[in-house]
Amino acid sequence: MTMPVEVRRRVVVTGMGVVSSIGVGVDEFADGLRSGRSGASPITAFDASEFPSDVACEVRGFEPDQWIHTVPAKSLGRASQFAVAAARMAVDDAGGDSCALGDRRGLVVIGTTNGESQDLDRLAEIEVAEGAERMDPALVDRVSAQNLALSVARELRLSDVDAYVIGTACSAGNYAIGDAVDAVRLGHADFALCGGADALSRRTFATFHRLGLIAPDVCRPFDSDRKGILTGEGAAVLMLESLDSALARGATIHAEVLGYGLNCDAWNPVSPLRASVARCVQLALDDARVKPGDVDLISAHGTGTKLNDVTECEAIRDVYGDDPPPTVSIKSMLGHTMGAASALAAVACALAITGGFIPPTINHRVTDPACGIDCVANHAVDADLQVVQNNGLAFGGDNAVLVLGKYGRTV
Amino acid sequence: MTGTAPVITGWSAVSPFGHGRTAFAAGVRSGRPTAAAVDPDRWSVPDTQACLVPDFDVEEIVGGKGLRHLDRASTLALLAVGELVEQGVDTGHRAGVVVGTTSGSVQTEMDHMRDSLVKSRPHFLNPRTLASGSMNCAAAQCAMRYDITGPNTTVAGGRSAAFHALGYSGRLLAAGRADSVIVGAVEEYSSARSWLAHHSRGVEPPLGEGGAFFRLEPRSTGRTALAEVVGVETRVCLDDTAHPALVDCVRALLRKGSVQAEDVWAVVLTTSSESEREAMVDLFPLEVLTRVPGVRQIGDTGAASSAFAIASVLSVAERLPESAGRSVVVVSSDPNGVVAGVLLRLAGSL
Repeated sequence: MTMPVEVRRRVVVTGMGVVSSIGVGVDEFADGLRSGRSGASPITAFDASEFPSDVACEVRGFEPDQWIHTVPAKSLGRASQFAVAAARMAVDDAGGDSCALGDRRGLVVIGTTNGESQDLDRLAEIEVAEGAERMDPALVDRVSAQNLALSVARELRLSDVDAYVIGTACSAGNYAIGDAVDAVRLGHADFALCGGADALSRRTFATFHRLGLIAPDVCRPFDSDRKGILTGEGAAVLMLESLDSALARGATIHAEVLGYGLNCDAWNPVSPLRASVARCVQLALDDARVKPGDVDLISAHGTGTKLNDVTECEAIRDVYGDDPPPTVSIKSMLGHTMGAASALAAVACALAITGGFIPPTINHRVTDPACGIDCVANHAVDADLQVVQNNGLAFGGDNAVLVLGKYGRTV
Repeated sequence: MTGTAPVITGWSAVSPFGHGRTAFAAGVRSGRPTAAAVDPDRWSVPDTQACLVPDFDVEEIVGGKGLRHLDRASTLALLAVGELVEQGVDTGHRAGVVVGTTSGSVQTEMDHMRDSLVKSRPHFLNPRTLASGSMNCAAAQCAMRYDITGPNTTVAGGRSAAFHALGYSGRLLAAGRADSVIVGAVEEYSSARSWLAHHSRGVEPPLGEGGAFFRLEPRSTGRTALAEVVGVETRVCLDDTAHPALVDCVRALLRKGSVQAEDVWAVVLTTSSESEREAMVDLFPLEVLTRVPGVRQIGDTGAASSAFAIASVLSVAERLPESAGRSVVVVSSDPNGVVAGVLLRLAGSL
């Protein structure tokens, strides 16, 4: 039932922006991926001293004023700052003013799990300490999740855009990118700024601790001794446009988005369902018109929890057989950045394609035989990547899988 | 109806007028007020009045175990979607559900943070409500309860949330990612929302709650269409005035539908704000603006406002044969700077 070839515009990535715990900006991020940098450090965003652990992947040294020029950066919550900075970088990367985005119909779609979680945490804190009548109106005006997308539009002076947020938890980044792919393919938008953003939050940290899913020190995806996630924060935004549009303006093409798939387990709020995840992978490959044998790398959801990693790997083998391509988790470096996670991973995939390398799964000691994949332990390897798959899974059973390809690959 | 736009083939509502589409339609047509004094024993809120969904007993109205701890927004979504779901049409892997929201259940989110601050350990959150702390809880619950295994998306917006969600859902259909999508929006009343609204600019009491959903399909299914969704347009206002962007939105919709302003049968204002009214009186005569009663009587229903505004059109049209084939514009202007509109073409009347 997917669209016939002739009405599908080809969709390419011409701009990328990243705010992450292993580097701010695409170059630093790429360097971090290649060198296997860890973003883990003691938490400073909130007092973690009473929690069972105090490590997370926090963004350090982020200077919003460096990227945010039109709206007062201080008026934005942290997640919006991340999203706006990443969007500004993506547009600069795509050619800046020469993109003439203001004259074209656009889509701004940002995925998030918790929106302005720090602001909402702060409001709850005020309520507990001083009473609800003392809530700060400036914070109140920031907490609506749509602000993540609206702030991007305001910063870039984009009025003729549909700007909204997708709140599909931890796969929200892929949901947003997938929506943008369809919008450009179908001609609903001339360009799309899409991705995900989330800020470190005490509530999120407490939630995952309550579920017993937080690792005490490091995140070890696919390892026999894996103990869970580290929470993280950051944002990634991609500029998508049609191939014709990119060629017409002579833009640098980082990668082609070949397709995506989305579905829902409709089974359990917190446990992934193997058959459903496998189905989502197949949907994505079909949409991308590639076969499992064409795929050179899988960027897994790879949270580092007992259940996720084994279920995800089983689902991958259901589609790929017993010898799947290298399957890595950049959450080993970035932690779980929630709604930003699959967007950051999508940028990582594009960088892997253009840079000719596979980012490693760090902190790795012994691969869990139940996972049974080559996770490219600890050190990046050089590789010519033609097609890369990027998985996003979420609580609620919301799966979205994206497929990227090297631009100009020979089919 | 011969275009390629998707069609609405069913709808449902749970609202301060009562449970179900019939109660909503009757309430809209009667114009009966629903604001009532807030029970101070039940709610610690700054509001004196609110428009609440009546008879709100989760276990009884939704049925089934394990829902007692579900947040109010998710419960409202289950109720509304449950009224609409037809086995085999809205279920399985070719069916999707798309839920518009402001930010999920803000009450649950703030309760968790409060727990973190006051409990003996900072991670001793209420384990029974953890799922409700995620914005996608309502959509995921609908999928689980009704076995909807296609696209399952939560779209966060302001009062135009249902318009964004409709545009998104139409794209899912156009891209062949689903054969039918249940799409709408939901908003809960809660003390957290009430306090946020109290401190927020541009929110006029009383607050309301509820949800409305629509089955959106390509026209080819054979089920009777109630209306065609000819187009959805949205803009972001870059300065303080919504007026030019609203006018721009409506003109774009009319162009998309090849409709002249004088051919529009009704215009519905989602929030009945001054900015909506001022922009529309320049474009349309008064009788067009008053033909469909607004949804003022159920209060400010946040993200659900735009869904209710569309539902109000269908409520009125189903009783007026002269509406058949006519065009209706529904607009919204949110204090957050988003203006949006949808152009509907009504199908034959009952």
